Amino acid sequence: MTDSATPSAAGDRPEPLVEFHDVTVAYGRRPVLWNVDLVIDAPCLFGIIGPNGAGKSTLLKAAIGLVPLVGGTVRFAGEPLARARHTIGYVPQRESVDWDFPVSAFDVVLMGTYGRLGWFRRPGPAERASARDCLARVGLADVADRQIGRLSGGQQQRVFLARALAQEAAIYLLDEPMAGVDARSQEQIFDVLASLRAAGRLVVVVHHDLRTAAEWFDRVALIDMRLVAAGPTATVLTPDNLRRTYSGQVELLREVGLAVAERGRTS
Amino acid sequence: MIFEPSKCEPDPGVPARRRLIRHAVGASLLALAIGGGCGRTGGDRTASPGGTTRPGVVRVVATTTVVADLVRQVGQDRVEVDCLMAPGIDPHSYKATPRDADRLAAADLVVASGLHLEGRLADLLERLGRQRPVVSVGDFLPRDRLLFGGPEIADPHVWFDVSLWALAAPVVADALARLDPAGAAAYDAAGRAVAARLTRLHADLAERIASIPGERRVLVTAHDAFRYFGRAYGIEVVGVQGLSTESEAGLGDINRLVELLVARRIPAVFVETSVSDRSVAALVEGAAARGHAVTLRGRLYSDSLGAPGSGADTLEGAIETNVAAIVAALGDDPAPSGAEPSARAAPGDTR
Amino acid sequence: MSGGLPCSAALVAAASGLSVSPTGSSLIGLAVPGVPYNTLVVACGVAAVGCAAGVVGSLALLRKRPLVGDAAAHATLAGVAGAFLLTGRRDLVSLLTGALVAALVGLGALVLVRRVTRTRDDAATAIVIGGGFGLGIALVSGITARGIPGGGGLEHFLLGHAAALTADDARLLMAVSAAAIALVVLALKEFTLVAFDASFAAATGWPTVLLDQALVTLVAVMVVVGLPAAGAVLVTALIVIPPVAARQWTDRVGNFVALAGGCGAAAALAGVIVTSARPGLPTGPVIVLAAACFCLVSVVASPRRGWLGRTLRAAAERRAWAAGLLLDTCLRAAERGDGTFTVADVTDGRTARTAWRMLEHEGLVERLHEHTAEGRVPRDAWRLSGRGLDRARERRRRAADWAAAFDRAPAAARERFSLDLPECAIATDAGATRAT
Repeated sequence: MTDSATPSAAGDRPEPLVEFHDVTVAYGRRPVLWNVDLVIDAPCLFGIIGPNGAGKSTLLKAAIGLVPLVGGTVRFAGEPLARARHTIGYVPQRESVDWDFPVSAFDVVLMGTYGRLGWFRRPGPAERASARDCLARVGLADVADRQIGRLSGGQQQRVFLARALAQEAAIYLLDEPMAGVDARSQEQIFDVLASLRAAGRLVVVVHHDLRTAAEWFDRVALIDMRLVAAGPTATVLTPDNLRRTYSGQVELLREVGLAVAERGRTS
Repeated sequence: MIFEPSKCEPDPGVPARRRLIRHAVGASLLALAIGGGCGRTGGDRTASPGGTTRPGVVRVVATTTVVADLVRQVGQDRVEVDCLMAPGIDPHSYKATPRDADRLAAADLVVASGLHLEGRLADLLERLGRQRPVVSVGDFLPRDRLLFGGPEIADPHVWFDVSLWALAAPVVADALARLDPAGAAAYDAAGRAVAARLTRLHADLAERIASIPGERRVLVTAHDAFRYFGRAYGIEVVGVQGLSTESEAGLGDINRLVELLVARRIPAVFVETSVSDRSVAALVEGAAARGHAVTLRGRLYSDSLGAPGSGADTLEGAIETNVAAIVAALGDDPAPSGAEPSARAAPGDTR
Repeated sequence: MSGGLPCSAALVAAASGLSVSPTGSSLIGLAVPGVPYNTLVVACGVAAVGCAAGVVGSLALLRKRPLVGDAAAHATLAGVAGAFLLTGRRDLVSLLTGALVAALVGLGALVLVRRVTRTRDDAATAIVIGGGFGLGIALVSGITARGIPGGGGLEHFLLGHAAALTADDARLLMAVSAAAIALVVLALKEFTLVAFDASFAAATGWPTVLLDQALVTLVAVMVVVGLPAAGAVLVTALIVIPPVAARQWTDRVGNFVALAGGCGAAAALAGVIVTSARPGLPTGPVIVLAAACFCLVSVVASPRRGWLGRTLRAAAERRAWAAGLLLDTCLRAAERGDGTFTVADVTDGRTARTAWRMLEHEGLVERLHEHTAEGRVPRDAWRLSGRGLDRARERRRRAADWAAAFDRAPAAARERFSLDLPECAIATDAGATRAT
């Protein structure tokens, strides 16, 4: 199982789950991502870490086709995005939704099943049961019928996570699921992600907090417009790599160093 | 965000752009001023109030075809009449275009029907009236012979009482004579001749309408243009839309009219050349639902005369055509609906 | 006008299985006794349009583009004038085709302006409205000025005449409305998905652009079909107003769409009933007024979202909270002293005095009396009644529970806390057996 900055060798090896090859994204002339080569072979809890504005969210958005690629390709088990969409669950950041929309938490989660249904079919009992189940897994069973605008921030984030769960995807891409969420809800969300990993899915998470990243993820990729390093957490989160990514944030580095050391001791 | 001097250059485009904008604004203001001034001076150059520009020909601009016809008949070959509205145009809702304003400004005399028939031209005519002679013939008619829809709201369709319209001929003759004193005698004679013709027509029309049996003598049309006609020739008139085509008939009005059609067994309703016949079609259906067949007959000339060559391009011609259609439809045993191809709304035709 | 419709209407009516009788004497085999024929025809036609316009408009509102109908309607004038100029004929089919083409072009331009120039939705809509209508007026004026025969009154096409609907018109309206409603019901989940979260829809492979175009085309078709009968103003009003009214009453999409359709139909029927009874009132405008009334009533008086309800509820909340605080103050005052207190001790200001009256009214405080020679004379001293004491102590206990919960488990506490101080049911930390 290799995660590296070079493409894997061809041959009889199975296609990697997600492969970013030479990905470059720009807004006008300003590059946001530059020649990113990243391969994720096997299901795990994969973190994408980097400073603000490093292009972490953009990497996911490029993978899911929400921003155009200036160069490079993204493949999912060898297939292009168009053919692989039904296997990917994307959980965006919170802002892009109208909270006054007349839907309840349950209705939103039910939308995750629409992909399976296809055109003109209504969700049936199986889909509704699946939606209820997903709500329960994220701990929102008792607010299922509340209109989404009346939920707290953490609850709203979990609704979108439940929607992704309802998609029953093989690969999950989550964009800062813990942003603005209190510690206890973060723990809850992490539990759900861990259960997904245990069920054999790949979970890719863009994450902002280095300390918890060190605790939670099996493998990480450090991004700062380019891929600095990728691989098992302990290997990647070295002071050297961190300095290259987060130039000048000393206090942060010290904390992370401690966390990594802690993990190394307990694992 | 760290400020990095090397990445930030002053944008040379900005001051140049501002200059360009200022030039453009200044140029357009200048152009507007010149253009505005030109328009006015141009207008003033070609006409001077109180005298003709070319000896012997008075340039008159009339608003509606009815008024234009009157001016032509009174002025004969001493005037050149330009009519603002083409045949078939509805004068109630007609709005003047800039070209119309030019034509009006170039005229020696402007003649309008008056009494707010040309509802949307009122302001323009009033402004014009300060610069050149504007005659609204309706204003000169005796008020006690006018019909009023409400306090101060006179029904403007006076030409349908030809004896009343005959009183307009001397008004036009008078106005022309003031502008062109040399032709005063000719205008006076022509005016009298027109009045006499109209008076004879008046008697003739009354006789013909009287030939329709009493209970069927009801004229149902799209809008209330024929009240003077009704009063003058003894026929009851009912309009669906009221005095102006600008108003809209409601369901209550339509139901009331259907009731009337059925109760009085009126055999025909009429459409007008310048007004939509939608409302009339609904009446026909409503009556049919109650078992009374009403046919849609005759395109009546109401607010406008016909096109040149149609036989209805003079007031006399138009009214005679109307009366012929009315008598044929309402008189004894109206012809079956298939026999009048021009009367029935042609298939696919719409307003 | 009715001459041009029989072909198309007959086809449509035959397709939808309605009876087409030559004299139009029975619309759908129905004749309601006591209702004039014209009223029935207009009611059927306009109610159908009202319902479909409301339904389609509710989707447009969800998609945050309620004014697309307006843009389409204003663009149709250019289409009508253009069709007349091109064909020289005024038959309904060519004029409506021109109107439809213009509406679609106008809406296409709307999308283009939004995308290419990154203009905001409302600004782009205004551009299309102004440009389309301006072009239309220019063409119509040109036609009038050149005196092209038959060219008069083209702009009246936009006004329509609801009261003058013929049976053929009504049948066409009913057929198109039914088709539009059926399409919306069929694809409701797709439209809702795109309206709620377009990027999620795109990410999961739904053709967002196609769905948007479908909605926009539906709007254009509704506007164009409703033009000759009801006019542009009426149709766009029914597209915009009923959904706003309906939104005030429900928080579920399915109910919202149905209610919007119902409100549109109700406004139409209200207009028909009122103008049928009274001559002199134009039907189309009264329908719009009825819709506006429903909307005003909804916005003000809806219990859930209406202004009145919210204001009253907020006032009630303030009063209840003030009463609770006052109760606590009384308890403390009583504990400090000998169990009694004066009104002045515990209240200050008007809010407190209102709260005091609430306590009095509920019998939570009672006045003390002196027994003198004249009998019982009220003193200026009060105490909490039995119930009042219980209530005050209960409140104090719950407040303390919540305070402790906030210390222990702030996140959970924040999620469940409420101003009416319910029982605090947040468990203590695992391993601790402290009783609360």
